[in-house]
Amino acid sequence: MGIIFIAIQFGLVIYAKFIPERFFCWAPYDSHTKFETIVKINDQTLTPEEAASRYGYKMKGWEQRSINNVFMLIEQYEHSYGKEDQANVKMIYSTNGHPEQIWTLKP
Amino acid sequence: MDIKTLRSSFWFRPFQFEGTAMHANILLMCKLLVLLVVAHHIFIKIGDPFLPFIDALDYFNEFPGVLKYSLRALFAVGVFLLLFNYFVRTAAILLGSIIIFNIVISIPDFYNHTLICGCALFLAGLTNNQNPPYLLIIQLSLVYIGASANKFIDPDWWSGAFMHNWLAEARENPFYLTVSKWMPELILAKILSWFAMFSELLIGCLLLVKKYRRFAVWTILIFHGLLFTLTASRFGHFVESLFIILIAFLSIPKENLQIASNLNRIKKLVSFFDWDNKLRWNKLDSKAWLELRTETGQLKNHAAFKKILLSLPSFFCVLFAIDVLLILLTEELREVRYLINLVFMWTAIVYFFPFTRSKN
Repeated sequence: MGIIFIAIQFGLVIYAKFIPERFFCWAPYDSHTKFETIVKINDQTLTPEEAASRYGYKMKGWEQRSINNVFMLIEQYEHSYGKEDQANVKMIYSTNGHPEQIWTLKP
Repeated sequence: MDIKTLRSSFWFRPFQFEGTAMHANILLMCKLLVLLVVAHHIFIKIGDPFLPFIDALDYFNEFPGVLKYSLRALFAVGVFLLLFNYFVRTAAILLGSIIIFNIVISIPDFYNHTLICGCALFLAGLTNNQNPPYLLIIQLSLVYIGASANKFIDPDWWSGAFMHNWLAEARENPFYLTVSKWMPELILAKILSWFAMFSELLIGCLLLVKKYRRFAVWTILIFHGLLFTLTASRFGHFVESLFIILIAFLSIPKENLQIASNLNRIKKLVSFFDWDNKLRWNKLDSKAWLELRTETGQLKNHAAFKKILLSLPSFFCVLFAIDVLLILLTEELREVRYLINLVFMWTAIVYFFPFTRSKN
């Protein structure tokens, strides 16, 4: 069973090379992203604290893992629990000091 | 109550590590990992699914609280069994599984420092007390190879962009800001990046080769020691988790330790750590202040003292307790804590470093 458990992890390390997210592949502190998320529901902008509480994760500051992990988290929330809210989510971010980029939630 | 009665009492079981289905050092590692995650509020973090990695797990939310309280109750049972030495392997598998499952049911709770504890507990439970902990060795190797592989494919690690952004922009690291000024642009960032990438790869590979495993363990200690010195960060509780997992690499003798000393304070100090009643005092037959007789010969003075300390799980429990106490006492004095940590860590590394080669 132990060997299977480790083999699964090994598979996930390889799999992570083909997807943007970095979960279960032992990639701590592999990128550093400064980001700020703007969440609008019915034209009302949530405060950073309200946004963090909505997703159960910080929505402003420094992310020490792949920023794609945060994109996935937001997408999953807005396509499931928060579907009815029709939230408009935009993130301004800069990874490893590169120029700022904007990510928006696709409906 | 005398020491003999105390040692045989039920309440002393958490401080005993011999005579179970696990190697003493593996059981010690498990107990410390569990205490570590409990100190980091695992009981509060165990909850109902919230954005699970597998959508189907959201089904548990049809019955709010049921999964949460069931997992918490099971975790409490596991902690009790492990700490009090009942069904220790089953308990470790149970605790590791709950920690990993709690990550799987909640994307926001994904942290590598929690995952490593879950994996180590799970694999420790699958390790018997007859063979070396191969699964834990492979696990640790995978952690380092995985970490280096992720860095090797990222151009920002080769160019130094990650390191510069992290140390200069995110952390405003005084050492980096000062030293990088004396060098051409990004040179220090590149040096540090490449050092980290190749160190992790080297550690991951060396761990797999028995001959170099001890060297790999020391490389881990020094690598993370340097990283902590540079950044003052433990990366969540990743560093202490790794150091605790390294206890699995110790070889704690199964037989009693035959020792001798004519100094009362040394006898008292060493006896204080003898929670498993492993020490057997003999008559001193040399001029040394401490002697340890092993199968392969005799160790004297500091060599004996180091070997005895590293053979007694209680020594690591005391180190853990000091660290916890220090965190509690220096809540508002982070710089003081950092300095004490540095002095303590490097003193221990220098004292225990095997400057001369020995088979122990």
